[in-house]
Amino acid sequence: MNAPPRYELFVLEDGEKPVEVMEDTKIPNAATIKIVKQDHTLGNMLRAQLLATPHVLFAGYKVPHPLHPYFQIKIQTDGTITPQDALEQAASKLIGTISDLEAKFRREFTFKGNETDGTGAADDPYGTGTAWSGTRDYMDF
Amino acid sequence: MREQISRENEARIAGMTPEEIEDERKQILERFGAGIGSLLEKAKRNRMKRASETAYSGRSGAASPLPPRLDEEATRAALQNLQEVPISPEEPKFERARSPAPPALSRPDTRPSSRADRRLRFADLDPKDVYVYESHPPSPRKAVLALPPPSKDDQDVVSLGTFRGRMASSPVAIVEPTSQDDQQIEVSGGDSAGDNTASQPQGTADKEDYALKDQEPEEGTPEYIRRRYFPAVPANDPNLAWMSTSTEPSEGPASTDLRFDLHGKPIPPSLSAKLPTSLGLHHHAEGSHAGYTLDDIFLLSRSTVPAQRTIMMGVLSGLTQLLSKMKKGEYVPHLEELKGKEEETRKRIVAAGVEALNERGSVGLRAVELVWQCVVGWDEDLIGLGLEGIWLESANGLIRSLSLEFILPSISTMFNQNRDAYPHESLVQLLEIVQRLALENVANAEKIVGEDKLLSGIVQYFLLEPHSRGPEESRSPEPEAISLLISLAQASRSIAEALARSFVDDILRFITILPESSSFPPPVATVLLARSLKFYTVLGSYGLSTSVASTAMEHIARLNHYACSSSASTELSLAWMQLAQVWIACAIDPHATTPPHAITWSRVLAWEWHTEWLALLDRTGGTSQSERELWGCVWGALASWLEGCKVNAVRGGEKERENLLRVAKKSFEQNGPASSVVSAVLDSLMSDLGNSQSLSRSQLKGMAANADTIRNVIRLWLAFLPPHLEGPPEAPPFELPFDRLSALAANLLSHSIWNIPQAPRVEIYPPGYRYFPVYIQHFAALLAVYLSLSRRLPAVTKELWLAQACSLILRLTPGNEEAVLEIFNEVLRVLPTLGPNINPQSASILGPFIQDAVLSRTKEEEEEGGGDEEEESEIKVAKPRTKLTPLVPTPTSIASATTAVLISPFAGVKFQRQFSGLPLHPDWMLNAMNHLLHSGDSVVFKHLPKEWDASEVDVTRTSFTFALYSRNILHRFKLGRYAVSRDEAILSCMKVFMLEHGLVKDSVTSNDEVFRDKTVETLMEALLEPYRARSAPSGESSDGEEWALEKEAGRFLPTGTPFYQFYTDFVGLYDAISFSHPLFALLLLPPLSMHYAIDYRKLFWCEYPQILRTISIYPNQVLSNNLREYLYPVEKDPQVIGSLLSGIVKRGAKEFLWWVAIHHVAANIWQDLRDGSLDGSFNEERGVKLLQAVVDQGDNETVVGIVRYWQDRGGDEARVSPTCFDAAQDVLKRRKEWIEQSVGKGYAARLAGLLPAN
Repeated sequence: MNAPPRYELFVLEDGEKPVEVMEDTKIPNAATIKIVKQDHTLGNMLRAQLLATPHVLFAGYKVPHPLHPYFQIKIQTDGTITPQDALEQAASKLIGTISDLEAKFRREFTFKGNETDGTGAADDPYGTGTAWSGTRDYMDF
Repeated sequence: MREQISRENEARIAGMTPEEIEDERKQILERFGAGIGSLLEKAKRNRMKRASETAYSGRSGAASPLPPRLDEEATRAALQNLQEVPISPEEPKFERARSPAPPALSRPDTRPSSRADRRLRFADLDPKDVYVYESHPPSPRKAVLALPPPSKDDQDVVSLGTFRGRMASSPVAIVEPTSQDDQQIEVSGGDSAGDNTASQPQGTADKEDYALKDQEPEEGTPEYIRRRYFPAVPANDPNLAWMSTSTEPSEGPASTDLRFDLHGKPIPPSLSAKLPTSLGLHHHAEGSHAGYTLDDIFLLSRSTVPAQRTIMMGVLSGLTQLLSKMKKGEYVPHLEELKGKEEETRKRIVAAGVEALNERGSVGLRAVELVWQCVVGWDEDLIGLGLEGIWLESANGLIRSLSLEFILPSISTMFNQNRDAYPHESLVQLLEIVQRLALENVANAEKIVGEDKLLSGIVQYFLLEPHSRGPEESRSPEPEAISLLISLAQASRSIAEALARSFVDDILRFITILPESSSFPPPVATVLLARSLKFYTVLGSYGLSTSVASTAMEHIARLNHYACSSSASTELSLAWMQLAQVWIACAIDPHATTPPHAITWSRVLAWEWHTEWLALLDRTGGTSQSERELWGCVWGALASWLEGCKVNAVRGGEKERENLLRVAKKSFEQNGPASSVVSAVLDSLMSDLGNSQSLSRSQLKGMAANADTIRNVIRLWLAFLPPHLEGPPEAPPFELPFDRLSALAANLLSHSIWNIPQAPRVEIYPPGYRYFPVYIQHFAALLAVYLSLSRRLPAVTKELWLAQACSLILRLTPGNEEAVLEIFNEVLRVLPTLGPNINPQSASILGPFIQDAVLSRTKEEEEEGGGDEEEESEIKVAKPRTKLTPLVPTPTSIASATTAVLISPFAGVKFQRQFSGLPLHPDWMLNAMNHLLHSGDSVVFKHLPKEWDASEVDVTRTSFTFALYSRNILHRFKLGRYAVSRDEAILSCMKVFMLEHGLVKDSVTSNDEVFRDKTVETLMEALLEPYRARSAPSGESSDGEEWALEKEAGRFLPTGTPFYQFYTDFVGLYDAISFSHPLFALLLLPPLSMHYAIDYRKLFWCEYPQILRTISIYPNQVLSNNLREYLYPVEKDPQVIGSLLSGIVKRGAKEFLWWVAIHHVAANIWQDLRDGSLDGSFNEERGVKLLQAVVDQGDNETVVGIVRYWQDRGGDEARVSPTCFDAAQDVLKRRKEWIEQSVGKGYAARLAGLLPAN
């Protein structure tokens, strides 16, 4: 009824900045970064990646309210890099990891598709092997 | 007398001449007519006969069935022959209200109708001519009396005792044989004796049967009938087996079940198979055992035959008495089976009684008695306690199981319509039942008051009727009926209002007549008057019916005069003083009463009661307890009067004070009467407090009275101080033993009586001790007054007073709310002057929160709320909060008190909290944190005063400063155990961290997180400092109370939220926002102690492995008395052990956590670190795997740590790094052996450098 529109969860409003960095004045090398229109999916990954970074002393994130589509991530480093840099590094590493994962997945899936195409047609009980190509189209897209 | 007359007559006749005799006879004939001769003849014969009967009835009674006219000599001879023959018992005669009509009435049918002309004549009989034949043994054919007495050496004989007493119809009481071998059964006080045949129906009778079998069977037996009438039927037809008497002696159930006789006493199994059937104990369906099982009794108690029902009611009454004895710990033989089931049985019994309550005749009467026995007689002592003002509601709730909707109308009917059908005793029992029901809880009291005509019927019967009929009526008014009204009025203000409407004028009549002029005996009149005064006292404490003081002015004046005269009893004077005190308190603020201005100060001044009081004091000695009580009461009333003068009289009552002081000063001088009373009371109170181990109820009551006396004298002292005086006066109004009073307060503070309400069932406490809070509140009131006094003493510094206040305030019980708030305000006034960083403005910040802790408001939303589903639960919460009348009524309490009865100690925690915020918890000064935590729906925040303007940080700072300062000052005066405890401090700090931000406001940085505030941080550090492992002297106190945090947390968490949930949020928050705040991390640790459930450790170790490396805490920083609580018993859960392992091999855990993890992993590897009985059995396979994992994955330090780790399982202190890593050589040797044996040579070789060479 009065549920907010779904798109509000991932579409930025006019003039809204996706990322906002707030330096902490009391704690050295610490920052709170607010990332808008994202949720636990990104937050958890980023946090895990940051924790794996050697220079990061602390990394934590929270979604303050489930109906507000943003999360805050808090980063503290040992001073050799700034929290922003740490986040950037983590993000690029994460992109690398994920594209690596995607590539691997694709490759495996292609093998699987070839196997299916080569040997599975006869096994297909309904003989509608062509239907799988549609699925593959979707994946390609 | 008659004999003497007839002897004189005979002598006179003998001395007469025949002519004179003839003359006399003529005169008699003339006077009485011709028939007189035969009449006199008959009379004479009757007289003779009666004389001859009384001559021998002393020995034989009506027992033997003698023919009507028997020669006396022959009778005597016959009786001598029969002397040793036990007399077959007579069946108890029961009332047979509805038994079939006696055969005599059906006789007319047998008479031929042709002879209707015959006149009906009655035999010329008197009661002695009707012969009662004793009832028969089981078989009518066994002529009992014809049997010869048993021979002396007959072993089988069971004597039932020799017959003595009259043939009363009371049931038989069976006394247990003294030993099992002794087969004697004694029957006492009964109507029975038996012969051996009767008492052993199977034994001898069967022998005879067998002997006769081949010859002629005995007449009347089945065999006889068969031979005689049914010769064709085969003998021993199995279909007719039921007809023969059972041959096996105990064929029935193995008779483990309890059987009861007609008194409700259990019959021991050894007896139940042997008792004769003639005792009336065999009228049940099964078996041949004597006595009735519980089920039989309950079945028969619903019989349609009233007589049976009546008897069974009696049985149940007797049983109830025994059960209640057993419940009180007395030994009742043979009733062990019901031990522990007393309450359950009692519930069933009372249900049977209630069901029969409405029956007419003796069933109804017995039912009333039975219900009385169950409800009142069960624990009669409690009623006295209840009348003191505490609900008797208890956990098992017999009374709750009663359906008052049924009982109350029944009782009401009994008192109104059928009153004449009940004897006075039953009605008194009914009154007591109602009284007990009324003392159960407020709901019952309301039902009783709401019941149509119930109370009016009771009052009419017990009070008004006897009063109006005057003394010629045999009964006098029943004071207990006024007690009922008193206890009802105490229940709640609304009930008191209802009672004030209906009964005030009825009770007034007892006040108008003084005992000396009363038509009733003086003791009764005095009690009646005293109770009536008490009734008005209770009403007055709500500000009700105070106009009586004016309307009955003259009577009251006379009463005052009488009560202060020497002829009045102390009880009466006490009652009057209390009433006067309440009325004076009512007059202080005319708007506090309902209706306002019902009693005014000008009248109180005009009445001048106090002059007579002073005269009374002059006359009263101080030797006995009651006299001292009287002193106390008068002082209290005078204090109230002076307090009123301060408010209402000219110039703050200066003149009145001076006048009174002149008298008082003299009395309180050294060796003056008043000072000697004070010192005597102090003496006895101190000595009673000294031997506190076993306080009986009466002792405690006496102590409470003494405490009242002290309280009143302190109040009087305070009342003499001029108003608007700050601090100590220049000179005390009069001397009191101030040092001893301080000692008394100190003694009371640390006394064990305060533990009574929480005490588990301990034998040292007398029965009913759970209800002792009703007396303990007197001590609390004394302490409250003492605090006001000590503030005025020059010897008490501000710091000392603060320490006293902070400790004593924890002792104040419900009813002292006003006093607590007053103390608190005073504390806040004093605090800034002492120099902690609190200024007066910031101190006032806490005001609303503390006020809420003491007197919380009901939630308004919930009052208005109308959600359908939740309505029921909301109504409960929305009930207006009760406010208990304090022992000393004040204008505020008079206007606002809602009840005068303490909540039952058995009530749930929630109800207790609803009842009152008192007694306070030691962390009361931190109460504001709870409201900050729930600021969204906190009531306090919605009702803050306008000028209140403070941020969360301000509130937190002030709260913590206050808490810290009070703890320091308490420690300085050696009162440390009344300060905030470790767990409370930990929880309060947790709350600070849990104050979340960024939800409403758009600020997300750490700048305005409360725990980042430097001051708050320092304060928290300071608060937690003493609880760290390094500062706690080890082994000093093994605090070790399990689940302590969970228990404490239950107070501020909403119901249904476990501490675990709070802790989950807490850990989550740490993970999200902490930036490794060290204090935050420190607070994560306490629930990881092995005292707590595994869930906490699972959560911490398994679900948040990433936070491990952010926590850098050294063992000596941990908040713990003894670090061993983190080590033992050894962790068992494989999941947690796995996480601990990964914690160490990945070097995630640091310092303290690393040490803990090493310990648990090592203890799961090395058997020598565990104690099988305490830590569970050793899992060798797991040990092997763990060691392999450590050696394969761990770095050097970890492996060394694990291998050399050592703790002394039996020791007191935990060894921390580095001392824990130097296991002895022989230990290492054994470990090496184990490795070689179980893990494998390869691993042994890899670890060779660490282990001793062979």
